[in-house]
Amino acid sequence: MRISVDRPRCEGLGMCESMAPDHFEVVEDDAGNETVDILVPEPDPADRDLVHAAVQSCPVLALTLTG
Amino acid sequence: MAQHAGETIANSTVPHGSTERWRDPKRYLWLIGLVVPSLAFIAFGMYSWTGSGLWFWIGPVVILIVVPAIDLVAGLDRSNPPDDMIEALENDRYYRWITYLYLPIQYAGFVAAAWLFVDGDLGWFAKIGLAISIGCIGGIGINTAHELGHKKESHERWLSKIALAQSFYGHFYIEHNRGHHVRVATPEDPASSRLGETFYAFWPRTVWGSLKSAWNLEKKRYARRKQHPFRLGNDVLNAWLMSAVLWGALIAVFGWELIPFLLIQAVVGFSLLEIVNYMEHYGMLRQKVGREGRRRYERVDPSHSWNSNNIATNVLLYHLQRHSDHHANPTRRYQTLRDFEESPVLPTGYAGMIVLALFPPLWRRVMDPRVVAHFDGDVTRANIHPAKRAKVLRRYPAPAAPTQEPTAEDTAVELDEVLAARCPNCDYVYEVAAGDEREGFAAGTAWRDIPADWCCPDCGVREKVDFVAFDPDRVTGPTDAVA
Repeated sequence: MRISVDRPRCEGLGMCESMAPDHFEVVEDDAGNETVDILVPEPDPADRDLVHAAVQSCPVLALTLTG
Repeated sequence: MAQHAGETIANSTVPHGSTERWRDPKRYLWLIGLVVPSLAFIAFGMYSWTGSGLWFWIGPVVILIVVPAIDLVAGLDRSNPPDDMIEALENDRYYRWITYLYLPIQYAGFVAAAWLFVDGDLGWFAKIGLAISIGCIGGIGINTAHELGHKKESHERWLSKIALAQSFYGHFYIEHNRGHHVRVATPEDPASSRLGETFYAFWPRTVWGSLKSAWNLEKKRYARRKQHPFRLGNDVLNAWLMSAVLWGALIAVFGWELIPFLLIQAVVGFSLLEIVNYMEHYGMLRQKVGREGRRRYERVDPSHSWNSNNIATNVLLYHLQRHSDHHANPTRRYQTLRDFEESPVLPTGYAGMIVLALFPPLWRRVMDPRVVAHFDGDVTRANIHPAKRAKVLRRYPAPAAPTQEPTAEDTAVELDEVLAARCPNCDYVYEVAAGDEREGFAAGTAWRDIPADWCCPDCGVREKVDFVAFDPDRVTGPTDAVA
């Protein structure tokens, strides 16, 4: 199971972080824009439901969960 | 795959095991939602049959009287689809076709009403009713747009914008998904109403705030790519352009006399949406959590939205009232939204609550105690309208923190003998023996000589009447506050 992010789409809105703060964190990139930092790219299968809900909640469809 | 018992966000996996055939009891009831756009044609038909212009007022009559009345008699529906049926139910295309069908009926009625408004030889009373009724259909159409706008399929997102074109509210689709869902139940959200805020105070704040928010979101999106926002790809601009083309074409065909119709129906339409927004999160507040230096709002949970299981409004608004599940799972389709035990529940359906929201004293009487009860009597945990904060705190004094709760003995202190009193908000203590020189009370100034309208000098929030008296010899107060 792997979380991936479509970087140009991500706007750093923080929906994922508010749902799963242990997996996602909004940070500033080199250009000073907010974007997501995926803290745990390969999450524990026990967290699947939580991570899936966080991925689903992305308003700009920047996150995907595979595997 | 393990089964996740008691878990609230189970839209990811479908536990195996149940082979029982389940049928959706509301499957055909959802068609009733299409009655709303059809109201225009019912009005046209009844007008041509009876000749009475009263029929053009059908929209507000149905929304403000008929549906609330049905809600009161039809009762509640708390049924949830079983977990193992959710995926099949999501994928059943029948349900999405019902939402798509709303649009052609909505627009056929809209154009026919425009023609009738200009060429129908109607009196002004009938004309106003017609514009308001078409506005109601457009407003409920915003709810359809809301359902469509949350979906991942791009054609559904486009249909959402088309549904919003009539009300010139296309920016809602941007603000709602990327603004409201992120900031819901926080003071920063223009679309979450605050305790003590009337609908009439909320209306300008949300209408203007949502517009600004939508524009800023799109501006920021382009700024990241170092581009200016004035381009067709800007979803706020292309949605408005759609409205401009629609309205422009109708004015070109029917003439300038159509403008009052267009304006009235748009304002009624988006106001209907905003009054529903008003009740969805009234007073709700997410607390701040997280480590020092990285404070954020807690995750949205079922306790942050007002829900209702009144079946009539639920069928008309595509389960919008199962609002907690909607916020937990924004892309979930309407037919699979669930009722959660722990969600706060409104006394009746959204339609009936609209009527209450129009009369602020009535709204306050019904809702404010419910908000306070929701926060276990501690109103300071609610999202309070800043202008009404002092008033709300006076009306609903917060219980003192458990460790400082006065004992029975303390509260029995007679007012004449008060030797010390503590502010229930910030723990400032006024001690008679010490007085408070900053406030102009010399040492020994009796509590009864402190003016009744005197406000806590530390927090400025609570007044004398809210202070909790105690005996300083028996309970040790925070002495540094008595300096």
